[in-house]
Amino acid sequence: MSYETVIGLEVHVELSTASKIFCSCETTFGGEPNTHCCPVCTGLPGALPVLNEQVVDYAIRTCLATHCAITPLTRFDRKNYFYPDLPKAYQISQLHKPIGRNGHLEIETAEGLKKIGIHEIHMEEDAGKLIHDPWEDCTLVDYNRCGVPLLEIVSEPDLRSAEEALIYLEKLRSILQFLGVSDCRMEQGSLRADVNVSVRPVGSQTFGTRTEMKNMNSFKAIGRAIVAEAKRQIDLIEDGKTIKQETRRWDENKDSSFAMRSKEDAMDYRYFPDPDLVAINITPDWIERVRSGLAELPESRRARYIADWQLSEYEAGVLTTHPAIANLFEETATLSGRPKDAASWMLGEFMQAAKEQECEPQDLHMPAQSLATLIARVAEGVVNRNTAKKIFTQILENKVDPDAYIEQNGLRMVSNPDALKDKIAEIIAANPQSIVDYKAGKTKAMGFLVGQVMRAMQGKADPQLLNELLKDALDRA
Amino acid sequence: MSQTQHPDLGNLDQQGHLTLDPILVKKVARLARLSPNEQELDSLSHELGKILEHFQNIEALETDNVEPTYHPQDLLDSVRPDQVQPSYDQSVFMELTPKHKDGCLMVPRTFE
Repeated sequence: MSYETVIGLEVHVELSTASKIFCSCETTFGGEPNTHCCPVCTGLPGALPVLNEQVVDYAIRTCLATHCAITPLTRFDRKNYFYPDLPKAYQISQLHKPIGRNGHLEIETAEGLKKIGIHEIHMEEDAGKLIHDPWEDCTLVDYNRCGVPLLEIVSEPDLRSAEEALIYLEKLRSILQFLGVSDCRMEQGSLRADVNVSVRPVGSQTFGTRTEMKNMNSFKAIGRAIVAEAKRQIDLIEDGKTIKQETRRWDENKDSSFAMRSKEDAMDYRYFPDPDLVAINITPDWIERVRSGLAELPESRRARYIADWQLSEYEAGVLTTHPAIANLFEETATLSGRPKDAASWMLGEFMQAAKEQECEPQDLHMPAQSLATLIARVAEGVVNRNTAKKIFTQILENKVDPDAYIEQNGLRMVSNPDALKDKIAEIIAANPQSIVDYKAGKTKAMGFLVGQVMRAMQGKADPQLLNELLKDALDRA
Repeated sequence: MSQTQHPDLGNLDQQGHLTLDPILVKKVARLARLSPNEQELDSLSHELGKILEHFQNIEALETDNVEPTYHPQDLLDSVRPDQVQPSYDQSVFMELTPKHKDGCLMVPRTFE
C-alpha cells in the first residue's frame, strides 16, 4: 500500500523588539545570565505585566502578510504548567482570542503553486533557558530569555512531504525577515518549530494518529525528522501495530526520534483568561496604519527584478532570500545603473565570499556604494574583471575605498597597445616551445602565453586587447 | 449537578450531593503538585463536588445571547512603548534563590 505523509507546523518566532513583551528589560540574545531580568519577567509577587505595543504592530504585520483575519478584540490567556524555565508557573499566551486566524501562504512546489492554510497566529512570551550542570547533577536557570516576545504561527495539516515543509518554512522565514519582525536566526533559537506528523493510505480522507516533535531548530533536522518519523509510522502500520499519540524528541546524532510523553501524560494546561491584562482593540485605523508601512515582500520584489531589470527567475530568487541581500542588490543596481552586473557580482563573488568565510551572506560587510563604484570601473575599462575581484576582496576584508585602492596600488588596466606589445615580445622570446606548440595547433599554448603576459603585468592587462595582440604576434612569429 | 449530565465526574452521595471521582481528584492534585493523603482525598472529593454543583446552577441559566465576561473591567489597550529600561542587578535574583552558581539559579535536575 502507498501512504502519504501529513504534516502541520507550529513555528515559534522571536520578535525583534528592543524590550520584552510585558516589561522593559532588553531582549538581546545571550548576555551574562539573569542580567536582563526584573520582577515582571521573573514572576515576583505583585509585579504586573504591561503589553509592548510594538509586539502588536509586528503581529499585525505578520497577519497581513499571511492573509489572516485579525481579531478585533484580542486577549491573553494563562497556560499553566510547572517547569523551572517558567518562573510564574504559567506562560502568558493566547488561546481563546488569538490575534490572527484563517490565513494562508502560497508555496511553489514541483507540482505548482500550493496553498498552505494558517490556522492561527498568537502572541506569547518566551521561557527561560535551562542548562544541565553535570558536575553538580542539577539544572541551572537563566531567565534572560524569559518574556522575549514570540509569535506562534500554526499551520493547517496541509503539508505532504518534508520538501513541502521546508519550502513552507523557507517562505515563512523570508517573509518574516522582509517584514522586519524577526531576524529568524535558528542557531540562536529565534525561529523554532514543533513538527506534527501522521501518515495515511493515499486517497484516505481521515487523518492518521499524529506524533509531535518539539523545538526543532534546524531546517536540516526538520527534513530528516519528518522522513524518519513517516517511515517509523508506516513500518508500525505494516507490522499491524498501532501508532501512539505522543510527543517525541528528535536526536540528530542518532538520526532517530524517541518517545518523550504519551497522550495520557499530556500536559493539561488549564488555560484561563489572564486577569492582569486587558483586551487590545485592534481598530481598522490601526490595521491601516500598519498596512501602509508594510515592507515590500520578496515575491513582489522578485517580480520587479524580472520585469524591470530582466533578471532570470533564478537570479531574482536568490537575491530575494534575505532583505539585506535584496537591499544591497537594489542599491548597487540603482547606484551603478547596471542591474545585470550587480546581480552577477551578488550571485558570484558575494555568495562565494560568504561560503569561504562560512557566514550568512547578509553578515558580510559590503557597502552598496563601493560595489557600485567597482562595477562602474569595470564597465568604464578602468580595471579588468580579475583585478576587480581582488579589489572586491579588499573591500570585504579591509573596508577599502575602491577608487583610492586602485590609485594607491596602480591597478588601472593597461590598454596601451605599445606597452602590451613589448611585454608580449618578451614572453614569446622566453617561451620558444609554446610557439612551436601553437603552430602545431595546440590552442592551450595560447592560453599559457596569455597567462604569462598577464602575470608579468600584475594582472592589469586589458584581456581583450591582450588576446588580439598576442594572436597577431603568434601568427606572425 | 446530576449524574446523567456528567457521569464521568463521580457519584452522588446519600444526600444527593456530587462526590468527585478520587481518580479525578488525584489528577487535579498532581497538576497542582499536591499529594493529599487518603483522608484529604476523601474530603476534597466532597468539597470539589460541591463547587461543581454551583456550576450546575450557572449552567441552568440561558446565556445564548450573553457576551462572555473575559475581564471584570472594560479597560482597553493598556500598552507601553517599546523602550528598554535598566534591568535589576543579577545579585538581586541570586539573593532570592536558595542555591545559585555562575549567575544562574540552581534547581533540582530537570529533564524532558
